[in-house]
Amino acid sequence: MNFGDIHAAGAPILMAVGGCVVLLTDLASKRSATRKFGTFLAILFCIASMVCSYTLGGQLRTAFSNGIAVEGLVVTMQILLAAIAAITIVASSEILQSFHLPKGEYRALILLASAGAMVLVQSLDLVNAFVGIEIMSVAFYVLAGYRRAQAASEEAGAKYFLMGAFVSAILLFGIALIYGSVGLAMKANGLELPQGYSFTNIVTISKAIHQVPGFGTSPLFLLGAVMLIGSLMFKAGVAPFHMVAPDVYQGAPAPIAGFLATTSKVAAFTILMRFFTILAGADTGAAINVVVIGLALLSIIVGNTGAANQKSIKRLFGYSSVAHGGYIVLGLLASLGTESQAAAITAVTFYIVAYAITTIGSFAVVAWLGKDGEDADAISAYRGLGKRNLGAAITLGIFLLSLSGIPLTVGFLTKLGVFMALLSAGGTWVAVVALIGSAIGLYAYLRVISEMFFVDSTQQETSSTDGASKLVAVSAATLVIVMGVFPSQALLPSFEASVTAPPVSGDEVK
Amino acid sequence: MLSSYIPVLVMVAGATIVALALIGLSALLGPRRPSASKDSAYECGVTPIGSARERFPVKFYLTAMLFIVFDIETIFLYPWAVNYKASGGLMFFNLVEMLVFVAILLVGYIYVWKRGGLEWG
Repeated sequence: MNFGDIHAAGAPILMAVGGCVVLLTDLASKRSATRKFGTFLAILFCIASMVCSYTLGGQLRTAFSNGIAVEGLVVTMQILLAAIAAITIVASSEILQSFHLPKGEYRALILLASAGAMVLVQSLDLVNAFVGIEIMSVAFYVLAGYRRAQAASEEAGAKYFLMGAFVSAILLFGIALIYGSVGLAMKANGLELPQGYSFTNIVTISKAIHQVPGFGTSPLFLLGAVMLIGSLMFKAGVAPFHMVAPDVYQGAPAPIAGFLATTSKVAAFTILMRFFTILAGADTGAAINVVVIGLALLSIIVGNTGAANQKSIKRLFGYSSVAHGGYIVLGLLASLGTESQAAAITAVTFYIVAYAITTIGSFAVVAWLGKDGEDADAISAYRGLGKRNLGAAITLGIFLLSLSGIPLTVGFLTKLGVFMALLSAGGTWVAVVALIGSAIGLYAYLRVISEMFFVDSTQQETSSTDGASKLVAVSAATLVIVMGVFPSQALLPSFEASVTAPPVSGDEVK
Repeated sequence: MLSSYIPVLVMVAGATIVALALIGLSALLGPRRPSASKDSAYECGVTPIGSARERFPVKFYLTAMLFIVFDIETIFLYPWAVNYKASGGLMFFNLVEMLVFVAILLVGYIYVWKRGGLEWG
């Protein structure tokens, strides 16, 4: 271990230390004084984490006995995760006051969940990935049930915890099967373990896949791989493992719902991208392809049809997140082809960043229009909003259009990128089915927009004072439009640059 | 061959003797003042027979969880301490690693203490 190792793992370390410091300062100081200072301190650690990630640059470096690897993609995702944490803390700074619940713990849990997500994102060893996923998930369970006096929040926390615990066991089982299959195959074929790598390391698995004939189609490995993929898909809320997602997003406070929806997706999909790069070009007998296509299409169909007739806007966003998980999985599917891989990784990265901005913004609107800490959850509460609060209606409208993928919003470009990558990988019929799913989704989003602008209501003006959520929502909406109108000029080149360094493959450790 | 199992046998015998001695001593020396709650099957503040849907004190479980946390800390500390001298060049690294682990637990401990988790009343 040296300074370079600490630097490579610096981002999650800073977030974890930040979580502890925020927790302890909250205990040490008087309750009334902590509000501003605790927020300030938490954001300071998020910024420090972002700076630490940024200074790592784009080149590949491994650390801690090859347990973690950092390259351009990981740096991008770490900065995004720290930004999500900081924005969530800002967005909930006012709504937190009306909860009458501990505030230091809230900020500390957000920082700790992000630390876990970063460990997951940068892990090269599957055991590390498991540790990361547990750090992240345990903080998630508590955050989902944070408003413990409310039945819905309690239900969300309990359901999420029980399901998550089962899924963790399945993930661990999958890792164990992969470990066993890799060890057996390498021993039977007289292959050496790569110097300095363990059997659960992605690099070792890559070596087994590419150098042992028939390993990619061996039932033991495929079962392990499918269990691993399936449990990570649960964390990302992809159908058919989505059952808990709408319940959790409805029960959790709005800023937390936005945080859960984005952080879990960023973390799970990034580690899946890394896992898929070693499957790319390998002979897995189409089994992985079939599973991934099934997950993507099911997710798109279930998410979009489920969103159609919701009465609660948070459930609508929950189903929307399931559908968007499906589109991201389509991008991952394209990354399984060796030729479309680079384009697919760029498309998925861009999709995840844009989705995070849109989702956090949408949940911020729900908190902004709420009263006394209660979110504006019922869609009927949005009836005639265009007349009462034009700014909020336009902001929410922008997010809904972006989620449905209308041009001039970033949602259109991200979908376009994924479909282009998919077409170049040869998945034409998959793209067609996904497009039909999008058309169904359009109904769900336009229904809310028509409620806001074309239906009159006798409801009174809601006196909203949540300036923090308003700030977050409006800035996110601005970003959605800016990124949608000037994509290539504004942000796209930086994403392409950040993923030019390829994730680790088995080639360099022959 | 079988002689290598003698230490195990000694261990089993020792454990049996200590366990029997402790039970015997407490039966001999301890005062006996039985009460209804002491005689119940499972003494943790919950009535063992009756409806499961009732309010129950969480204090017992809080203490039990804290016990497990520090128990696990000890379980990690033992093998670490036994192997510490063998770590050679990594000795300082291993020391720092364990200090980090203990520090994280310490943060949790301070938190529980300050928030009143250790107060029974």
